[in-house]
Amino acid sequence: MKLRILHRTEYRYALPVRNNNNELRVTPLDNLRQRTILHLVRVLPAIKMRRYNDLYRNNVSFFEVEEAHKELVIDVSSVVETKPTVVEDIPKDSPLSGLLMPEVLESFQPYLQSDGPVQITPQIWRSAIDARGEKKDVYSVVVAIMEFVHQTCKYVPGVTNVTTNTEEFFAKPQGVCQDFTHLMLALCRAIGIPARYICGYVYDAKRGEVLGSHASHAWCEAWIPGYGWLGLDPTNKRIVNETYVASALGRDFRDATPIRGSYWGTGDREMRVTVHVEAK
Amino acid sequence: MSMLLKDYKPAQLFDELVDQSGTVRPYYKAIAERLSGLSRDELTQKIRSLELLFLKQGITFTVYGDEKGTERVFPFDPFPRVIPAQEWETIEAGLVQRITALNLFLYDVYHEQRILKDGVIPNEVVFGAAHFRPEFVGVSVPKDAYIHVCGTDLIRDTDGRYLVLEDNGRCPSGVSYVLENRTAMKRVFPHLFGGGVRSVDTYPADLLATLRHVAPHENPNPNVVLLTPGVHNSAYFEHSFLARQMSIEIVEGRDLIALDGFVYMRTTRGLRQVDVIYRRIDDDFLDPQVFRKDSCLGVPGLVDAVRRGNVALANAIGTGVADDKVTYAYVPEMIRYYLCQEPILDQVPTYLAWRPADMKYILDNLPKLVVKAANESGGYGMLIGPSATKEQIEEFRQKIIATPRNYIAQPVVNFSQHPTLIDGGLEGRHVDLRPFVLWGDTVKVLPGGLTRVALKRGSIVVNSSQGGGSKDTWVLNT
Repeated sequence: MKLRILHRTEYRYALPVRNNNNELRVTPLDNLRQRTILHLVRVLPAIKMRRYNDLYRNNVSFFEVEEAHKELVIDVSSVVETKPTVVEDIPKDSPLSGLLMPEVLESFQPYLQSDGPVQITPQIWRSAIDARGEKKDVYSVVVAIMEFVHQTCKYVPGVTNVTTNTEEFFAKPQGVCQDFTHLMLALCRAIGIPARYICGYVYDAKRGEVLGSHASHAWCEAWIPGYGWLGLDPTNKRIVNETYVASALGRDFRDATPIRGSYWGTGDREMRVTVHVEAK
Repeated sequence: MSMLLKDYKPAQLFDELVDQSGTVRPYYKAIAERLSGLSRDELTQKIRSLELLFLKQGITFTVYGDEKGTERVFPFDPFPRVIPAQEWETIEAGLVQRITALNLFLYDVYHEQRILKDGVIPNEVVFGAAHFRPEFVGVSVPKDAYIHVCGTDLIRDTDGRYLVLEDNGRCPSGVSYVLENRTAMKRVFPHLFGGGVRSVDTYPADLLATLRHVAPHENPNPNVVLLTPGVHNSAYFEHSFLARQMSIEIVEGRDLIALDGFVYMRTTRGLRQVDVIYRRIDDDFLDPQVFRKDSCLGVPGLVDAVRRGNVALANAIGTGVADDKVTYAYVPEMIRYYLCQEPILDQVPTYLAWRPADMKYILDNLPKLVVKAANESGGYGMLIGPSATKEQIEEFRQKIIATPRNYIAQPVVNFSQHPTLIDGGLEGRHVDLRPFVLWGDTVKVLPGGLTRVALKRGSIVVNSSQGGGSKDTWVLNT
């Protein structure tokens, strides 16, 4: 499926600001699931753009606007071709015990930790055990965890913020896709399933059916031995399919923040983000 | 036609229809078969009806500097050029990348000029460009858009690689022929379209959306007009065609009046405010108060209204600095600077006469090079070394030494050939491609574009003013 993504972020500052540094993780990943046909990051005022690849192989664009300015526009446009996920190809008999192999533990240590926004509390661990129940294979367990998150949590924007951790969220499970994803990461990691955070975009063909399509979206990827990383979207209770485009990954939100920056200046700031994903 | 195809001798260069072994390229198979189904008589008859159609529609252009000075029908060749989907995907991505970089460059040179301060592009390139408008430094234009409509000329070298020959970021013309060629082809050769050819019909609507997008003060219902120099302009057919297709008024300078920083249109019901002007007049003639004092084509006070942000011009004033042929040499650097990417489309190596080393090379190799004036378009003011006389070469040598900033030189690229109907038989003729890019809320590239063909044997000048014709261009769906 060919998807066109437009992601525009506009900042307006009440007073001029200087030395505005920004780091962007908005470039679609190139992997077996998706191929980038076109990708452009346009910043106004016009400046020199730089790029590097971070630890997770995310393509990071960064820039600095030194002179005083009152407006900053970051315009990202991408065209990506995605492949569907064939659910039949996912092994349904990959045992949970397979995750205890030393190689797995060693390679995926970062994706098994309780850290930052992903806090594994006794309550979360208890719920993970309950969600697992008698199931023995990884796929059935991660799907059960996804269903548990979807059932337990309510999508309510504005209740949480970027610093909310899973302990706070689980106490009052109302939030957005980022919180849903962090909770799912904590639940998976609590029972030894490597899980990572994905930031990206999702296409909503029927407009209004898919949560998270009007901004950057977030979901979770769990490691299934013999298959690899499988995307699961707890906000929409779906296995990630060809309508999803991943742009950054990491341990949690902090590694995969789409836009992060700092500037010198005082006064109010207004930010407007628009995301459009359309089929091409 | 099957006979025709059998007799067709591809050139040593890149041939669009057949590969080196003489086999028809897979994406041309369908059209070649369908064309073969026509007898010679049928074909002759169809070509006649095509010509009649063009004449009746008034699809003409004017040749300047010709004693006869008359309007001519734009020659049309019925063998369409075919571009497979994947190839087009790359061209499209390259064009979008390029117009993005050019618009960022224009914003930059009319604001902070970072690219000059960082030494990526020498100051002389910008300040020495005839179409740089220092009086517009610091002036903001709606949505920070400078080039709204861009026509980028592409050619293919001997390996079939697409190269950018030039960007037309002022008033690119030719899109009406794309639309009319398609209409004519559909009417006369309906059976040739086996489905799977991408439509060009939405262009007028997309152009209008692009124009409305830059309306000042976020006006949801702007008054958009097309400003033409008048009926004697070579592209007047196109102006009236586009205005009609978009259902907007076509105006001349005398139909507009600027009062108190606003622009109005004189109508039978009094003055009506104008928000967006799709101008098909060069900067120089827009406003006699600011630019050429002797221009009667423009509107006195128009530039003031633009500066105050009460009217938007498409394309903006001063875009000529981006399609200057010296600036062209630096576009890859712009792409690296603003976008931190490598250019997707290559371009023709360019020697700049004002760089001493390049100057020496140019003067030593004039018979091998194509020399172009930096600020001319339409194939005027150029020297094609291999086919020029000694006198012409000497004349250019003097011109280059006198005003080096005004000249660039490029190696002769043997652009690709396409079979073309000449006197009832198929012969290879050089073709280029001018796709049209619209810079609005999103960037849209018209699938295909204008394929121009040099009808004179061996000629590489495809400009309509110099004896070129055109072809319908098909971008396939798959």
